[in-house]
Amino acid sequence: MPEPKTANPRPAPGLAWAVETHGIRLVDHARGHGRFIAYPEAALWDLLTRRRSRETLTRQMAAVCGRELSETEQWIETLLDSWLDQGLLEKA
Amino acid sequence: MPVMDRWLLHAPLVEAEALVNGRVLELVRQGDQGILEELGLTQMNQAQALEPVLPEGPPQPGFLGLIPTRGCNMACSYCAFGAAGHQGRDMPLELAANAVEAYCRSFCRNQGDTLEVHFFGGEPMHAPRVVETAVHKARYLAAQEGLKPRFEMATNGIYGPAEARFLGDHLETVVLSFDGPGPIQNLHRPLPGGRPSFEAVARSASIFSESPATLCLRVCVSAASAGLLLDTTEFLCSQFQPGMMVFEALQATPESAAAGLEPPDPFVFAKACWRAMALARSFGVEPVYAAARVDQVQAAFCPVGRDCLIVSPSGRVSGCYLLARDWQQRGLDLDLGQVDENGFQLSREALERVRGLCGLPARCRGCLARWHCTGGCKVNQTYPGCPDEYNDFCRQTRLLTTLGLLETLECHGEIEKLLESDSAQERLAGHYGDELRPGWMDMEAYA
Repeated sequence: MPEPKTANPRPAPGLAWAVETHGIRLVDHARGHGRFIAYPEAALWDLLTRRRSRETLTRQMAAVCGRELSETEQWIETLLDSWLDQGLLEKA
Repeated sequence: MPVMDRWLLHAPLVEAEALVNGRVLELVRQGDQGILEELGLTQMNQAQALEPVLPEGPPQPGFLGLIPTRGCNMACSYCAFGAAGHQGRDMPLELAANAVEAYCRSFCRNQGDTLEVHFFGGEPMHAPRVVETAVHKARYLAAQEGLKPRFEMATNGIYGPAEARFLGDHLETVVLSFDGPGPIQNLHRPLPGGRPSFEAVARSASIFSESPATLCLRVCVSAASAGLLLDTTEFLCSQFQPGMMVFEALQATPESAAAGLEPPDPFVFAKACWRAMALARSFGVEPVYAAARVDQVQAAFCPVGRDCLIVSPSGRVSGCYLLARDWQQRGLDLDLGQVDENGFQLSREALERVRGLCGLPARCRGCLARWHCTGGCKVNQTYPGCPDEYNDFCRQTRLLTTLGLLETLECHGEIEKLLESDSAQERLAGHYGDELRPGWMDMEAYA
């Protein structure tokens, strides 16, 4: 059965993260290293991992970033692809 | 202030208090320099310069208030917001973001290094997407501007674990309304249809307790629950380890009367609250009765006197988070303007009008709690034309303030005697005009 077009990827196994003052701190237990996700990308990570739908993510991120919906949709798509490539996310 | 057979002197502006006999009181009246030096009162003629001041000039908001929705998922017996049946719209996401940005660009630089947002309702988490958007917008802007974001929310805790975890992760302080164990919580704060709320709020309290946020439990005390306040305090402290507990007496509303709930007797409340506060401290919990914080002097008790900007779901900006109908019934106009994508449009005239509401009636100007209580709520306690007689709020506040000052003086024996003497409590609570007007002080400045 094909996946819905807007199904969101999920965090890769072994990843932990915590909210910090100006971003999100990721810890990759599997690879033994961490990284910091700054804003506005940190907002996307936080809302994505709290299982917001793509539609909701787009509306919320458009408001956070002050962008148009279509521009935000493309920005989200690009960023999620990047995180997939980096192994931070896996496809649902 | 008469306390048993002695007099409590309180000069908060010079941080001096003493429990003295009638002879010493008379020497103070006469301006005896030796006594004044011994009591730390020699600076009283300069006290006016030490008064906390209200804001002047351009707006100086201490925080941005957001009301994501006036709706709510509970049917609390004493709710004066009418939130359970509210039909209005939630705040649009864009408006929430615009308000945060406007606040950041216009005011944060002048207020220090903090971007502070408080959430009110209804129940703020009845519009969770709005809350999330505002939080992330604020964090984004704070990162850009080198500010420290800070969030606080008054909430009912009736939502799922995921929502509670979001709050626990992102807020500095969660002020959770939690009136006690199951029977009290369910009596005071039921869900629609009279369904119990205890399990859900207890689950949220546990999540907050284990999160980075400071859990502040807000306990409303009725006549029915006042006698159980010690048990309530022990239960809440031991089960949830809050950082703070705030005790409030139920304020009578048509809703509470219809539900058969009555405010507690002010003396019963004050005594129960005092004992409960001591018990909370034994658990390492900071207890608060907001109108009797004798360790602080302030010019205003609530957002009205602090230039706070409270944004309603429509974009209306006011100085108060209560319903407009409540302040309008008192003949007050607490509206300040609007906010939209172009920023805040505030009326300077409105700002000065709201600031002007912080004057005090005579009953407050002569009260020893003046610089701690500051008249309480401007809509419910010290609105223009309010009665000049002490009400129950005044009586319990005066008693708790006195107990706090005696505690500061380490007069533990007097505290116990006072708590056991109904007549002494009534005498001090009803004492009108506490100000000492010795001939050596220029009292005109305090008119």
